[in-house]
Amino acid sequence: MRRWYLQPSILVGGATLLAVAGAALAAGTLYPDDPLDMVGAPFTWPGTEAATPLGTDLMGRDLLAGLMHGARISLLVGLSSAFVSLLIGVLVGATAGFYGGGIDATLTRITELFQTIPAFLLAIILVAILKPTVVTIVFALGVTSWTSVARLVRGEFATLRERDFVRASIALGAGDLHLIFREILPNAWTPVIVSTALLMANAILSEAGLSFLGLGDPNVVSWGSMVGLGRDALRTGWYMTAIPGLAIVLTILGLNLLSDALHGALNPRLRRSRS
Amino acid sequence: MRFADHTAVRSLDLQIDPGEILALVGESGCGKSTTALAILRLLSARARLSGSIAFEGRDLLTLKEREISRIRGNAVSIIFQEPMTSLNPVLSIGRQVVEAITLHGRRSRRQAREEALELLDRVRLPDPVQRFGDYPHQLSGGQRQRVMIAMAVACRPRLLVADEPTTALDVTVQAQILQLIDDLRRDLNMAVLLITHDLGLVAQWADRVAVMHGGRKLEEGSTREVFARPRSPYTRGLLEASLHGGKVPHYRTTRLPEIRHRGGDAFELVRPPARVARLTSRHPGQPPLLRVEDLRIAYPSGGTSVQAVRGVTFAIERGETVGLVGESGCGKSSLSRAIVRLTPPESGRVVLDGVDLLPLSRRALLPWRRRVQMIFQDPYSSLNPRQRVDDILGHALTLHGAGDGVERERRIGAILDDVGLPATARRRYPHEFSGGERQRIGIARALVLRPELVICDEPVSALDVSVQAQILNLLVDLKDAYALSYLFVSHDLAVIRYIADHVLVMNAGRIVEAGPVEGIWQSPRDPYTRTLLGAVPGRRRIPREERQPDHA
Repeated sequence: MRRWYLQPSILVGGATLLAVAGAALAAGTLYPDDPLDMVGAPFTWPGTEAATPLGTDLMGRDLLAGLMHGARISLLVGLSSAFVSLLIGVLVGATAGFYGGGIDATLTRITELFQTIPAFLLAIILVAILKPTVVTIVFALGVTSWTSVARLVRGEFATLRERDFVRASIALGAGDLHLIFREILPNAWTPVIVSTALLMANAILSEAGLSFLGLGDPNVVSWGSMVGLGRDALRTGWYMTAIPGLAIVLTILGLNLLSDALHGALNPRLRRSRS
Repeated sequence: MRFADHTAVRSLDLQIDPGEILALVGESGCGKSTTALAILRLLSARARLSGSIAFEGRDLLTLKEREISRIRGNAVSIIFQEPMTSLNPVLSIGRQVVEAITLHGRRSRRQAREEALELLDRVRLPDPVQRFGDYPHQLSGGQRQRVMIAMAVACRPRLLVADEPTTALDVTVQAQILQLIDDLRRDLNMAVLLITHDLGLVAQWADRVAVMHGGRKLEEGSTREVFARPRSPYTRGLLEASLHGGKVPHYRTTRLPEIRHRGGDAFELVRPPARVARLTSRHPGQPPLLRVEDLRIAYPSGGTSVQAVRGVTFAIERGETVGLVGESGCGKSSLSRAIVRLTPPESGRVVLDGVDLLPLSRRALLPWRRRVQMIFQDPYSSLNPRQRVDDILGHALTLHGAGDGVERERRIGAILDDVGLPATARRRYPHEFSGGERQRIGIARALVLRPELVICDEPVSALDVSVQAQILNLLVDLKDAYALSYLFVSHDLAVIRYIADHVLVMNAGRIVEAGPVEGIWQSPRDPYTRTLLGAVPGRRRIPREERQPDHA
């Protein structure tokens, strides 16, 4: 049987994400100064100056420094808002699926209510009302994207709670918390983990979108704001939009590949058919 | 028709003559279904076949894809086990039968419809004109299988492959479906390859039988010969363990023989020595261990409620095994779940040792839970796949505060030993075990708290016959060692007859007959009990002329 981690999708996806994470970690040591500082002449094309290998933007800021610092924001926002939506989603979904009946009906209605609201618009409104800081962006993206997790977890719980091993545990006298966290949740993780990678991808994309619209944190560099700024010089210096844009594309692609690979690796049925 | 040689199946030779029923018998994984699929070339493209399958002189293995599809459903047909999934749920049954007819011959629409109606009438679907437009979900399991058979015989095939055609059906329906297949066989002079694990069916319906194990054919011969004088010890073990046939043993006097595989074609039969069980007769003076009084269970269903159990009263004495028998949907599972408070009943009393369990709060119930435990049917869904064996058993002990860590370890070791699992089993996960071993883990979980009453909900129904014998032997041994009482729920009358002291027959939510096991078998009073006992395959070989056509 082939090792699950030797699939091309997991290697490519993992390598891309490791590169992004490495850039985020190295940003502080390689470019300790604020990436918003002017370091060279504006409109320096990539490969022309040794000090700024990826060139400068129309304000003379180093694109490579911006890219690496932007990776920090993207990963931070992606991870923490995915965590927030995971927390809300698992809580709501587990409660609804486990207890069923009226509790389930109420929670499902609330989930549907959130689903009918366009998530990105709600995030824009939240960021516009609150102060545009990284924390509010994480919060806004988290509270708008938990619905898919909630539905997923609810479905898993509803089927798993009818399984005989749960009945056996009830017959032994186990309490609800034991049933939820020890018996059912460990069996419901697989699809949740898979969808978390996609949640992260969505959050990174949404953060880029918000920053592009100028609703991001003005004090930090983000890939989205870099694309937004570069847009003004799209004809004369297209590299200013292309380079951060490419970073976004590769990161999202990496997360999608990883999610795919995790699905294959964690699903025993697929694993067996591949062996 | 004859064929030879296989890969997942190793060099198998079989021959079926026109108009003959050949039974291919074996336990799960022995290659019998693979053989069936190979005949119609329905195996996945990755399967490698060698040898030849000669059908009316032509080798099916060398035919082109177009030629074989002209044979499929036309000269050779197949019916499967699951009539629910074999029919297309979004097409009416009439259309599906019409399709089966027009696929292999031009007909006008009216002609095809008439032929389809004729076919549905022939398979004795009640009121075919009315039911022509019905969808599969509106039919019962037996009726769906009738439709499947109608489609299979639409083009008057010369060979019908029936892959476990009645395994998913109740015993009374099973008898009717096999009767139908047998009638069609005579009318159409068609050969039938009956694939089954049920030796009772074979005894009653097959002309010849081939026994398979591990992809090999162990023996073949006329049914009469094989059943009277089985050559292979494996066949003999299957025959005895399947509890069919003349002399039926009882657990108080005999243990079932267990088949040990000695590699290759060598088998050995081991019959554990029978310990004379302490016979506890019913004492009218002593209060019973469990008393169920006028229990009613209802499930809400679209505004109204469906009555699953309609007022059931019975008692279980100490040291007694009460067998609860009935067909699917009769309420026996609801009843057993209600006793361990997994399903809330509508009304009634469940009195254990003088205390009614139903009004107790969760906390107050906890000490009583230790005394009543349950063994489940499906060993694959009854164990948490993410927990190791010692977690599963340790959880039970921790919940009831049984001793410290050392004491718990000791008890886990002891119970694993008692259910016949090695000490190394405790560090392993459920998926590393076979079905029979998993059922042993389930039994260990139920017994680790040393309960007094164990509810066994179809504990051997998902197991192969030879494994079933081992588990039944184990339950009998444990009953003695732990001084247990059982409520043994099963749809299998042969198993109930072996394991039970006292029998309850359940039908449509009510207990229609109750009494000692011998009494029920020798002189059943209730008409339903009589139907049930009469439908058990292999009770006696009914001469063909005496068989009456019946209607489902």
